[in-house]
Amino acid sequence: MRFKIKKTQNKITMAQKDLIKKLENIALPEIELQSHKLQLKSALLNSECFKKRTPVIWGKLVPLGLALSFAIVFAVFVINPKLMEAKAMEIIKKDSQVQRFIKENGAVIKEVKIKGGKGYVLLSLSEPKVLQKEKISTSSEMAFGEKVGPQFLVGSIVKVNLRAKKVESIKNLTENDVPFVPLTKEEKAKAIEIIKKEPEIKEMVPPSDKTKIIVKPIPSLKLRLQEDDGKIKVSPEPAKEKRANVILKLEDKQRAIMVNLTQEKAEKVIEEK
Amino acid sequence: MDLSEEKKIVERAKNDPKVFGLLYDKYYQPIFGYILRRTASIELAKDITSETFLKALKKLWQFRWQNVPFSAWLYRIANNEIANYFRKNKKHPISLDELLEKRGFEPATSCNPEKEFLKAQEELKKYQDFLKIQEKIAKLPIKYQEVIALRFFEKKKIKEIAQILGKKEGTVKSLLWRGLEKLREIVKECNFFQKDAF
Repeated sequence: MRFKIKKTQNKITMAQKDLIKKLENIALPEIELQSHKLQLKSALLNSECFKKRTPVIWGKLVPLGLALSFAIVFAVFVINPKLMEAKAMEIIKKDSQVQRFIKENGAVIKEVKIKGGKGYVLLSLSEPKVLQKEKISTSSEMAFGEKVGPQFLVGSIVKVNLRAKKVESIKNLTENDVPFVPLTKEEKAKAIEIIKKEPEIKEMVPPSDKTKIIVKPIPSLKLRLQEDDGKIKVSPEPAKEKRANVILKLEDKQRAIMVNLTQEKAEKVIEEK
Repeated sequence: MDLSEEKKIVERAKNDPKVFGLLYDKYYQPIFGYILRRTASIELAKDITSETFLKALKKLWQFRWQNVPFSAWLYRIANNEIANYFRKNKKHPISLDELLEKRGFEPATSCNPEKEFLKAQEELKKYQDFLKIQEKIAKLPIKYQEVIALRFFEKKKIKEIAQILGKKEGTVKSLLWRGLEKLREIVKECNFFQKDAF
């Protein structure tokens, strides 16, 4: 019923046919304004918007492109690494083993680096901690040669798997893990010369032919992370002053004297039985 | 000019004022005539035509060819400008004088614009039947005015009207039918079909 009504409504009535016929046959004005046509054409073709269209487009696109490029570079090289670093920090803060290391050793997060989807977090100790049971006085830049004296814990590297959101490994660092520049012959001779001049040391170390003298460099315990050959490694921060350990191997005991080569003086004596 | 040829010209016109001039020469009269038949005013037709071509020039770089004649795009701009005028009667379309003042450029013309304008007004007055029916059409909502004017004044096919308005052919037919119905009612009220009305 509804359809029928609609059909009737759409039916063209006689009156409508008449209207259409009248509209189709009506005489229409065909007026031309030559002066307007010419004036408008000249105005358009000489308009600034036509002349400046190309520079306007470039003028808008170039800064936009530059801003976009800058935003991409900024996001890729600045924001993204910072976000990844923050993510690595977040993961280690939730890891109980790392938290225990920090608490027990008074360690602090020194540096974070991101490489190949992994985060490397350097935990540094405010003071080196002796790994052996002997109780000795320590200083921030004090260390011994590999086979001489106690070993010191200087920090730790925590490897974080950012995708899996978990700590992959924790590697404790001793002074032996920190690379150092070997001493030259002149520096070794200078270190021996310095201790010979010190009257206190002369007393402590009686002259003996059997005394063996070893001179070893002291690596800086101020550490940092560095990318080397595609790997993240620990390296010492450049020290302001150069120091060496002069180890005197006596018959019954050995003594280690820390010498400041820059200031040309002995700084500390450590005795081992 | 076939569609592929026109496409090339439009692309060239984006960077070449001379080529834009060719398009202008081809379409000025149909667009001016259409606006005149929509507004029944020489003054308004001049101003809205100026506005239409200025808009076309400004937006030409954005124009994307969609296998529709370039004229359809110009008719659409003209429709928008006419609708703008009717909707916001306060905003007067840019006049050529204003355009010339802005550009600081007055081209030399062999015609006397004022004389030509007066002559055109006189000429328009001769089309009394048209003016009467146009007055009735102007009472319709814009959407009906557009389809009726395009169909009966511009003699466009339904397909062409659909391209201009960006509507489906069925929608155009429906609009046309309803528009004519409304127009018939207005005309009936005014006894438009009395013999002496024509």
